[in-house]
Amino acid sequence: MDISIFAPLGGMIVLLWMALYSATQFGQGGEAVRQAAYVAVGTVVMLGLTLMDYRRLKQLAFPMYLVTLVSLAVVLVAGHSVNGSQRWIDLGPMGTFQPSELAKLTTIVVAATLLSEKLSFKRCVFTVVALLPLFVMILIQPDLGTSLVLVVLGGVMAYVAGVNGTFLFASAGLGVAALPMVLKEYQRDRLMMFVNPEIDPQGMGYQLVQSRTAIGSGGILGKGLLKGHMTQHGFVPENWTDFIFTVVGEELGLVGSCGVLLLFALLFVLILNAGFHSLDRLGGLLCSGVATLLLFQVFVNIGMTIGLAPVVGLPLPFGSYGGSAILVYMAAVGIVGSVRLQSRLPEDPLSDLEHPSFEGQALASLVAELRD
Amino acid sequence: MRLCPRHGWCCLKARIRQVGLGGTLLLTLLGARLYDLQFLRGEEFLRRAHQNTIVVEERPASRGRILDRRGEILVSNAPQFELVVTPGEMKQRGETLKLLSGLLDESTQDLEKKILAASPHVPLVLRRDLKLGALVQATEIAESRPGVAIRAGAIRRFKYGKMASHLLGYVGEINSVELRTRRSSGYALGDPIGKVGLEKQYDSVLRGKKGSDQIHIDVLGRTVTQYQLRPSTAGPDLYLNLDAQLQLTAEKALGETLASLEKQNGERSGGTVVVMDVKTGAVRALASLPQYDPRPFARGIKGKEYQALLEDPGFPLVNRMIHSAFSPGSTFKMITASAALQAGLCTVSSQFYCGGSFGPANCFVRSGHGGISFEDSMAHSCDVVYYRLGFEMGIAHLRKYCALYGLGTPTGIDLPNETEGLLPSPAWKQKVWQDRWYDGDTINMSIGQGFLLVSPLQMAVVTAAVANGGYVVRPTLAKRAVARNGAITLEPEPHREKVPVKPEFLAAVRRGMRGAVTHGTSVATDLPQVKVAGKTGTVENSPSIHNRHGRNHVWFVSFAPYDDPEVTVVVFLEKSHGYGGSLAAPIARKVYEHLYPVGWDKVEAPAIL
Repeated sequence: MDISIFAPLGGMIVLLWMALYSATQFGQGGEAVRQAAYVAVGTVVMLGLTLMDYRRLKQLAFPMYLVTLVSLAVVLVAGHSVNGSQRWIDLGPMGTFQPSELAKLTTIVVAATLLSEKLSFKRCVFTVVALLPLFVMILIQPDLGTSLVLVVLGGVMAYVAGVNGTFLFASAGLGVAALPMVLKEYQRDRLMMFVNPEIDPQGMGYQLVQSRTAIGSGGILGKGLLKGHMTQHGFVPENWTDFIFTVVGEELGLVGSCGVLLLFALLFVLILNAGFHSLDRLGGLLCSGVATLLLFQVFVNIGMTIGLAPVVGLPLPFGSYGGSAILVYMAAVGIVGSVRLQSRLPEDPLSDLEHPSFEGQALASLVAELRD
Repeated sequence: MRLCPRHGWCCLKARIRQVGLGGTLLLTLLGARLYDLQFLRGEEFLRRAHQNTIVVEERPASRGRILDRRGEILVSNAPQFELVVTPGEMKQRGETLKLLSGLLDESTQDLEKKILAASPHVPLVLRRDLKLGALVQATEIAESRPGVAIRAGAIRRFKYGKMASHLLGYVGEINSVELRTRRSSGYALGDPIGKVGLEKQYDSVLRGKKGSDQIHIDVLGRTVTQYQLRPSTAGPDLYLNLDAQLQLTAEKALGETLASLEKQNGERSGGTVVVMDVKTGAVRALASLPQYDPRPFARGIKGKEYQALLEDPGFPLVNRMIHSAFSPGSTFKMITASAALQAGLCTVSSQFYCGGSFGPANCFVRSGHGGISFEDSMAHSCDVVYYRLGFEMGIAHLRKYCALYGLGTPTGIDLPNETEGLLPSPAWKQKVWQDRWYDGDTINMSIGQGFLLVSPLQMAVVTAAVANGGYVVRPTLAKRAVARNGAITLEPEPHREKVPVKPEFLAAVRRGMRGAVTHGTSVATDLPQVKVAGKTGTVENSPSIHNRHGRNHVWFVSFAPYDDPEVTVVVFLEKSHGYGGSLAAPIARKVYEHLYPVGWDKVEAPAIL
């Protein structure tokens, strides 16, 4: 089987897991082990989705949409509240489930399904109307970061699908201009904080100062795993969730942080490459959606820790502690795997005699075997 | 809205490529920023990272309680609120200090000085045991002013208030002098430490082990996290040989006598009562009056209050039991007698004649006792007999026996700053008085007058030795220390040394002392239910600064039961006027009545009908 997507992903997961282990071995505990279990489950989901023909998602899109909608409604009614936001559903012994993470995947699948057909004005409006409830329900949790992810996903996928670029950029500009009016005060403060964290009106810039200091102090080679002064002594709050990258930066240095970035860049390019060589528009849209999701979150999360992006509270894919997120991102990569796999299989191994490929035949038989 | 003119394949591929380009650009931006932070400015951030500091703060341990021999709690810990400031966290210090100065009734300069001397991250206690009104005010200040806090703490609670305050002692904050020698044993600024009495003697036992928390402080001086490094271990409880009820009885009897003496003499005087096990030296009661209230010391005594105690004419801060030494008077005849018998200067059946004087020295019965036996010389306290015996044995022999009975050295009781008294010698006299030792000095000393000085506790040890057949015991207050987990961490072994006096000689001294009770100088202690044996002493004084009228000190040393001695009771009254038999012996009688109530020897297991 072609493992070119999974190799950089695996490397990244291992690196970031070490950072999580380092961030939690002092005080907390148990997170690293649970994260490893989530990764194991995620791997099964990912491989399963790779072997499933991604075109079946067209049929799955609507049920998936309904499940997401219902779980988001449940969160709003009976959700588990943390820091004033209702984001989790309590699943008893299985822990908690975060529907907003699922909504990201649902948005990709639904948008790709709708936009893969011949594009028309009506179809575009229908897509927006379909996705609007997800966006609104996440916005009122309130979870600004995730709702922003949905908007970006919709916009980029529409662009890839062929919607006029000028129009999209104009609407994006309008949206950014309107943002201050929609936002709550604390969200506005937080968004502006990254520009000058030292002002720190309510102690919010503190995290930013601390995370920047931690990453900068790592230098070229880092202080060594488990040896980061600021990481190990709790000087960077939340460094096992949103600020996990500070651990990489402090303990593994420029080498480690750029290593993570390079592995991610490789993954990003491979995902888009799969879309580029996809058999159909659906595959191309799915891959660009997944690539956008990962890139946006990586940029916003790492950017936040080094003062390049506002604090919107998005997890670092494959890094931040959290089961729902890990499962969703690995499922997304699994869909890309399927797009890639399908494009490398002959439509019908027997009829496609023009390009007889041993590899293609072997894969086809393997897929057939596994499906039975 | 316009759509891409070719909703076709090529458009999609082109736009995917554009997305890839845009994404790569963003990732490059991140990489460039990381290069800037970690490579170009790495050193600077490393310096800033080290401004995030770690402080280890100590957590006080609960101090061990002090209990009597029956487990009755004498000293325990009570919760209290204290006002603390953390200098490093204070803002607008001037205004805050002004507020605190109003509350604490201390000048801002004094407060400033204290705060500047303290460690910036360790909370400094400004006032303990805040009362309700002050607490409310202090809470208001603490809420509005950073660096000021109200903290719960513990203060020593004394169940019986003033009772036994000399021996229990009190705890105070460690001072710089104490700290200098004790820093290596884990004491730190602000720690409580026993200042006097048992609290001082057993401080290392009672204090327990402090715990510590690791506190992380960020660049802005705020506490980030706090971890417990080591939990604190409560100090073991100290069980005493003391009997609280007996102590109360002794203090009451002594106090009543002292009160009537004050009325009669017009000046305050002090006194002591010791009750000790003659075989082991276990101290059952140790009263020294007047005593002071330890509670102001526990909360931090104010200068005015302390001045008043220092100027009190009764000297309540002096524990007369072990800090002061006096002439033993006729009680000393126990030593003269045993030394004479051992030297063979007389026998237990010798007959003496008292004509009222020996040379220039008179017997206190001027007319003389006439013919008198050895035992009766003890019972009636005939001075002439002992003048003669002392003269015959000489100062060297007498001094030797004083030393054997423990005079001239501290008894070794488990209390700090014990006096050794004064055991004079010709060399000592030459040095201090620039004069030779005369026979008159020896004669004087043989009846406990003159240069010799003993503490009441030393006299109790001598009496115990006579009673127990010649063993000098070490008085001990502590019975054992028991940790919270039940482990015994301290259990002093009884310690005793033999005095080389034949048992039959000591038996004769005891017979003489029994005689004093039945038909001699101390009939006041002749109780029907227990046979007491005793010896009175009356010390004549010349007028001095502290004793302007030259009033007598009086003594009564005793033990009981006569046939099988268990306890010794020694009573001493300072400048009381009067005689040992009439003033001191009645106090001992009350102690014996407490120890041996009527029918004490007949109490058996209740009969089953």
